[in-house]
Amino acid sequence: MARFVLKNCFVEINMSDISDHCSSAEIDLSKDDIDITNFGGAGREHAAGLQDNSIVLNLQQDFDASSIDSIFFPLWDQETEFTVTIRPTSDVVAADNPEFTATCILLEYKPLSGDVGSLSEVSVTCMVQRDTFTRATS
Amino acid sequence: MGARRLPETVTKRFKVIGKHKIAGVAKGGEVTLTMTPGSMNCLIESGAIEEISAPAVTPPPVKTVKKETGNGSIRS
Repeated sequence: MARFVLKNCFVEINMSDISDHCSSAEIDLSKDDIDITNFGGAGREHAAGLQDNSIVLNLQQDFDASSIDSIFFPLWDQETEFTVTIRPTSDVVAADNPEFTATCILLEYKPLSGDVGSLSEVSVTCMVQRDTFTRATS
Repeated sequence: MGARRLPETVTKRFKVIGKHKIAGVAKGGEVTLTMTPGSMNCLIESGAIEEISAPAVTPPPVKTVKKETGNGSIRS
């Protein structure tokens, strides 16, 4: 399989394509670790519990109307669930360009963060609700 | 135990007025979105879209019936 360099990752929040303001994206998939060890062996035994997934984005802050702050503040303020869609490239969904989608909620938001003279960036963690995370290849 | 009720979605047509593409449609274009009312309100509040209202219906003109009073004058 060819190695892959992230260049034009597609990132969509609540239907808004914010790829041109996003500098990093991370999809964290995990399940609770349930200890099911018993007297039947000499080592621990694990079982997968509930999913606890999240999507972390690093964004270049933009206070223009309809841009980053205008998109994220209402989502945090109104505690509204929203859809997050991410693809490795902006090309159409395919086996080699899977689309990851989830319904998320924003529990934390730092609209302003940074040092003097630095680019204003904001890191957001979108918590995936229930079992809504999907991976599509077509 | 009952199944969890998920939010209902609504479908509406919008004009894209913000700088970011909405569902793949750039500024000035029209897009049909199916979303929960809450997330749709957030998108409208962000200034990204505005709802395309249905064309106003012009009420038909009211007909005035003129009646003769019998004394030569006409009453509306």
